[in-house]
Amino acid sequence: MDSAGDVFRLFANCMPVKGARRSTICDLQYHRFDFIPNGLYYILTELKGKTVSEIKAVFDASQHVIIDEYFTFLQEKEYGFFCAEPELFPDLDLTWMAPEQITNAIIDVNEQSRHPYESIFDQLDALGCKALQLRFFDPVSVGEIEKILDSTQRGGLRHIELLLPYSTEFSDDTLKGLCVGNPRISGVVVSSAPKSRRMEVQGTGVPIDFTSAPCTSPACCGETSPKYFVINIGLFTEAQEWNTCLNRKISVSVDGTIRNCPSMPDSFGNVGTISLSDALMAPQSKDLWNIKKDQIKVCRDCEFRYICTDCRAYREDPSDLRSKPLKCGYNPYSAEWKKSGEATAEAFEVGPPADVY
Amino acid sequence: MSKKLIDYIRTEAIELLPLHVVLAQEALEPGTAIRSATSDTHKAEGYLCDSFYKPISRCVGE
Amino acid sequence: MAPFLVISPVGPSMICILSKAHLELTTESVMDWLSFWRVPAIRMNVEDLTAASLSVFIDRSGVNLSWPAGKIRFDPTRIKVVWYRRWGSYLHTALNGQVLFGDAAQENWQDNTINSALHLQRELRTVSEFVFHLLSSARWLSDPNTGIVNKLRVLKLAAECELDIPATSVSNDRASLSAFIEKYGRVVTKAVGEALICEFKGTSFVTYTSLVEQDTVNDRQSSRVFPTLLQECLNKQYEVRVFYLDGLLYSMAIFSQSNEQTAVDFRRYQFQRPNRTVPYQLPGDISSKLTMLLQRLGLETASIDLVKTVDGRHVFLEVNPMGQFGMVSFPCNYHLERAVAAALVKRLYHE
Repeated sequence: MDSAGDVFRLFANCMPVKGARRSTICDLQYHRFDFIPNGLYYILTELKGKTVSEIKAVFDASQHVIIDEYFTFLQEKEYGFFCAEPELFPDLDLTWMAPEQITNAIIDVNEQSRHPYESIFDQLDALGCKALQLRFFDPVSVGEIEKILDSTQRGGLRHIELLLPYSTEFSDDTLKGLCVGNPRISGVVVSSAPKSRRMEVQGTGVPIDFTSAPCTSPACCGETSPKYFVINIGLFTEAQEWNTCLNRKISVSVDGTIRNCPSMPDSFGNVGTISLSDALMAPQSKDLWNIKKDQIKVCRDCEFRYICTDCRAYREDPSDLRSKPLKCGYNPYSAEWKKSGEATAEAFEVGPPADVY
Repeated sequence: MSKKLIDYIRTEAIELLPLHVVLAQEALEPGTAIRSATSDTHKAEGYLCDSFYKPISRCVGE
Repeated sequence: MAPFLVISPVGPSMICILSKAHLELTTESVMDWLSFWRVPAIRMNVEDLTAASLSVFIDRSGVNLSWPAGKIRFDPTRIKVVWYRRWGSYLHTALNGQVLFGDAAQENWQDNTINSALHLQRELRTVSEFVFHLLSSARWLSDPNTGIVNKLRVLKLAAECELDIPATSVSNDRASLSAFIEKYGRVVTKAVGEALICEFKGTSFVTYTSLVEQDTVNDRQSSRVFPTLLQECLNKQYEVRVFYLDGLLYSMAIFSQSNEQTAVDFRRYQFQRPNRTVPYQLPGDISSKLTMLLQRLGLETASIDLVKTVDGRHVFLEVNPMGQFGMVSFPCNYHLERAVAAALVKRLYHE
């Protein structure tokens, strides 16, 4: 298996993360994870750089078979390799950086909304924002959507996500046509649909998801489930220092108020009267950006904390800004989920590869 | 442009840009870099639109 | 809606980025950083030669260049730094989808078509060279006029810098090629210069490095062949791709697909799982030799390919002054686009 002097080296993009009861290895390149016992976590971190013999020497002889099994597992699953020159393989730099003042935005729309879309998109461009989610809580026609999106054709937005309530007008062809006519649309979710299913636009692969779940207000946000796990360099590094949901996010609510997100109570002004960038000058507008998982109760002991997006809006203890997300059903101290659906390595679905360059 | 936003940019650029440039930028409108119009439209042509690296919101449960 | 274009009143100094329009994500990422730092930058694409409005006036009083980026005019004397990111394919720009000499039955059709295409290419190249000349007082990063890029010269210099290189032969003699294969066993061939790209029915075909069997050479009718490059094929442990910028080397190791039997089932992948890419640290002596080589080549930035052989050697393969570095930056989280933007800013304000 290994020559005497060789040392096992995890690939730099395979990150061990310790939880209260068990740990994970998060493969940031292939977007997958596996559970590992905390004993193996100890070996991979505290005993890093030692040969297998040196590692075995630390443990009782009865553990040696298990140690061999650990390394067989890691090799077969291609999380690492035995190497004679580990100094040639440095760790991954975990610094997160982005050349945008705002990296993502949400605009909520209902029947009463009178948003100055062109002006908002101009302002988002000025802030460097390239990702936008438009959430429609009341019925809206494809024509209206196209009119709104018209002014994005010459702008800097590159990922536009749509959340729409189901309408019989939304035939497969109509939705696909909308995506083809607006190549910046990176995904569509249709809520309150008769049947849950996924469709992809031919050629581009843009996903259109129909879900029977309703979504009629910001209150439906804040879901935490393995379905939303994201295992990539972008989120993992951001999670080290920043809030994975609110960092560099801005939102416009249905009434035009500007907030960190539409579910947050504090407003920094109205888009009809002040600019987004002026709103960002409010003293408290960026306070939540750097509340990281390691500071949040329960989350800081959870093995999923760097692949999971946080929610500060809906908290278990509303009076505590560092309380865990309300809608998270996982207990890292017992490794159990309250709701149905065990987060096993095979059970969850990962999204499409985000790092194909 | 108020002091807060300048400070925000300054923490990024202060090592790179000379002080007189940082100060001069106070008078600037955002979005100063000029990009050829042809390159902007081509952001949506010629390559597949990939999704953002993380969910922007999480509204729909399992 | 107003176009995403604003003239910067900041000082006289600007950065100019020479690129092409399509599929240049790296250029856009670098510009994102410049925009974030409010550093004025303008981008010219090779397609602008035929697509945008370009005028050069030369008369007794001097030269006047007008190249509006979109709907904005700018003063070229304000450009103090130029990044030559990518240019080329004059042919594509020149032809722009047209067909020259459409009638294949015409006398001398093939020669006339080739000559016309070459002519248009040269026309655009001449215009480009003059525009670059008007920017010659700027500080260039990746100057196409300086820097040695001939692959054979690069190999020679690499050897002089005491880097390990694969044994290489260029010959037009069948017997000589045959002897090379005899001596080295596993041998590859590739273009001496740039690869050839041909398009058939909408699909692009590229000539790439391929193994050469003894039979392929010996089956040639004539003892005289077109000058062909042969190189010993290395027994590789992994590949190393390096990005060099202003004295710093950023390396990445690439592990090829391992045994199919042990490959994990990735249900989401319809295509083969990509190779494992991780950050790498070259040994000190290799780093110094590479840095020396790049200095001797006159290059301030370049991509470099090496191979780590099974017997432990780091073997230098080639240098590309305009190589893609996004494929090194992203997997290793090196933020190279920011580094390049910073290098441009450094040249703009600190030199």
